[in-house]
Amino acid sequence: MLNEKLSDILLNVQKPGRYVGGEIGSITKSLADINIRFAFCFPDTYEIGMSHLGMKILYGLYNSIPDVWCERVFTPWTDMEEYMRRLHIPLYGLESGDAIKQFDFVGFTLQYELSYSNILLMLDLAEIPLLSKERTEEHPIVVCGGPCACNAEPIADFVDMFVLGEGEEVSEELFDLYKKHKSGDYSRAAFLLAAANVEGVYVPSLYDVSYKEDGTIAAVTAADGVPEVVKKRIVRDMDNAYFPKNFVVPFIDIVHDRAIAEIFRGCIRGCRFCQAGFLYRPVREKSPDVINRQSRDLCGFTGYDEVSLSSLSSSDYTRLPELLGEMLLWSEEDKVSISLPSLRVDGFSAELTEKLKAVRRGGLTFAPEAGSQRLRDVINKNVREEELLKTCTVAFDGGWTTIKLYFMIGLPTETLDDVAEICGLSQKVVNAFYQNPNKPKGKGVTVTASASTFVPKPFTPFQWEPQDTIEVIHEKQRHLRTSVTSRKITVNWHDADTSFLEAVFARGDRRLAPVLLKAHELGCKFDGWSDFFSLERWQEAFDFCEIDPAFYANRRRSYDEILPWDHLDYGVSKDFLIREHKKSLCAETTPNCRESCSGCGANKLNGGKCDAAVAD
Amino acid sequence: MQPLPIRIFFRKKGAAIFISHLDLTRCMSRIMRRAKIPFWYTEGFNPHAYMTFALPLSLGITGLYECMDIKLIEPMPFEEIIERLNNSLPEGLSVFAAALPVHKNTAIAWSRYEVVLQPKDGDSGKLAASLSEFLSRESIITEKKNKAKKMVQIDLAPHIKEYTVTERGEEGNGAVVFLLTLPSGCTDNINPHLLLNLFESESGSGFSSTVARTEVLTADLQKFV
Ligand code: SF4
Repeated sequence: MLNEKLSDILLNVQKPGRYVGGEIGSITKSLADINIRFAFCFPDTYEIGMSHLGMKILYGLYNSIPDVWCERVFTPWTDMEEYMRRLHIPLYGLESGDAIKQFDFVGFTLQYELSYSNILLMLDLAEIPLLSKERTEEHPIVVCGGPCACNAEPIADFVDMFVLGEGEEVSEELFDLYKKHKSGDYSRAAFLLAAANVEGVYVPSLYDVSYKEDGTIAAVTAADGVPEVVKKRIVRDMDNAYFPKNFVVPFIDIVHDRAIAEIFRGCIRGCRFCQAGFLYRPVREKSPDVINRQSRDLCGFTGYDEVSLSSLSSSDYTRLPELLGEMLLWSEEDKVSISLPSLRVDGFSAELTEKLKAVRRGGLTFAPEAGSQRLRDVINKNVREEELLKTCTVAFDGGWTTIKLYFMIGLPTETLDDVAEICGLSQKVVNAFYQNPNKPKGKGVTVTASASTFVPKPFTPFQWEPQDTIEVIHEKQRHLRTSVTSRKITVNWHDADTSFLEAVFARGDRRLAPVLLKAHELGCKFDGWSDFFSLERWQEAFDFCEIDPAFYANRRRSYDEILPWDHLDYGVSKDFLIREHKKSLCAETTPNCRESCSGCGANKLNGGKCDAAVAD
Repeated sequence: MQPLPIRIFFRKKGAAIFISHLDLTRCMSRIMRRAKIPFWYTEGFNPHAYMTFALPLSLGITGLYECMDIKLIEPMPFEEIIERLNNSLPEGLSVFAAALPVHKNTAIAWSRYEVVLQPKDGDSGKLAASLSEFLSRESIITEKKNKAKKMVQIDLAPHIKEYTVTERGEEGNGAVVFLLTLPSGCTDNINPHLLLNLFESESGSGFSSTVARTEVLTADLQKFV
């Protein structure tokens, strides 16, 4: 719903479709029936936020509650920001056009650390006090969830509460509690205290952190009456879990503009660098008939002609051939294409390939993550060279001629030789193409090796590891370039500066709050966008606050150090992570969860059940 | 059955005026799928919904007479097509007619517009007078990108087929209603904003404006149907 002020400026900004709402599937309600107004904020552009499955699920779920109205909010691009400031238009919900400062909850989803500056920007534009302690009964409750909530400490001062784990579970309980409080003599403090006793809710102001002289944490002390350790919540039964029948279908082109069906949560692989692989444990699968029904419904309601089967590793879904079989029964007639991202190298079996012929084929991407077998063993990426080459050969047989390989540099124990082997492996893929008698005729091959910078993350076996300094990363990037042996190979890499900042915030603590405030003042925003990111500006903020970012990014922690997230329980035990870390240092692998359970501890969240451990 | 061409007439207003033409095309093909209209897909490597728009509308302009051609592969009554589409369309888009096409798209020659100008200082009398003076000039020269994307000079005066300027509303809070007919179609196309922008910068008048395309006409000023 547009107010007049807005209509006037929208013709002067890029992509006005970002700011108007009114899309098919967006939900408007009559205020008379509403008890709770919720602003679901995605701290990035409309195009990115609208592509995110988690937001679609929670948007649908919240709005399925009759007296709750959930609206969407994204970070306005700078041109729009300028107009909003000049004309005093506070940040508003896309559905109603109303200022979100008058809502009951303002929720942010934390998908990546580099979006923290945008959270401050959005609070600022919303005219909500940035610091939790400065908010009163008149202000909304600022709540955050999403993967980065697992170490929420750097933004703890700005947030009233965090929801750990899967938001579907907690929200209704939280809403009921809020309604009870709101109907009485509402006090913010009383509500937050009560909320802190809902399992999965972390209210940071009720936990006091003290530090030792060396800068490490001395203790985290919970206030009276709140749990010492906050445990994440999970959805136990995926088949009966809420899943939207309808998505908001944007007018403007977004990053992933298609229907999405979630096929399972968690991952059986246990790659040691991958935070998602540990955060979303235990593994929980959805049944093929449920996925099939949900996909078909969704395409029918939205008009989408593509559905993507989403998970951390699609080919690990135990009933994939069965699922594809069911879906292909209607998808062709309905002119719907099925896409299958996150395919693993070894999951590319002959049977699957047959089925996949009917499935949309984009470019082919593989993620060996490291060039040498030794380093792949360190990170527990159980992909062998022979497998990769075999799969590439299958792909070449099938007519593919471009292959993209994803790697990381800066992995623990990595040497320059390991880096050079990235090119070595790429060369072997090139050779495999030319040695293949069935290769597509008259075409060359292109292999692109993309190297991102490794960022150690909480709740992974590498949570104690230092990140390589920017200088070392630059040296490795140069070495990578000089190791290229063929014009068929292109190498590229991500900017080391942004990975450095990501590393600081991933394992940061509450003392970073003033840095964030200062950075916001200096105009830091959209840090995930290379056109905006400036490490110099951040360095200025660190200097101003006399904080050494290397303390967070480049320091090795000891096993007995109290980590900023130790009072949060995500299921996987610290003992397990230590075991995995020790094994990694001797390049010892751990079998995937389907072969044998390694006792990570996450199954206790699911009454001892873990779908990964059920052998097929 | 042989794919049957159908012309759909619709309006585009409110928030929908911020949907660009490209986005509208994508939106309409989804709407047709949602509404389960038995429409024809193009054949070939990458089949897509067959859809042609008579006259793309620029961002920010309200369209009260927009046309889109599709083809049906199964018979469906026009009323049903209209109803199904309207049940699926987002706010701001609505279908008001469906019919067998009479004219070819290339027959389009003119469009009628209704421009409402809101003077910043509230003095609609002055604004109307200044607009009338501007329009009565012998030549109205501005710059426009030609087909090769090069800026060329153009005289708008001979292109304005007909116009009226009237005042509306009470004193101090009035508006100027400016109706005009401009060339449209594949050979010659003048965007009313070209004229408005020039008027704004040359007259120095401060105003906000809304533009609606109200009719699409053939060379002999017949309604395009
Ligand atoms: S409980 Fe066992 S099988 Fe399940 S995720 Fe943990 S280690 Fe893997």
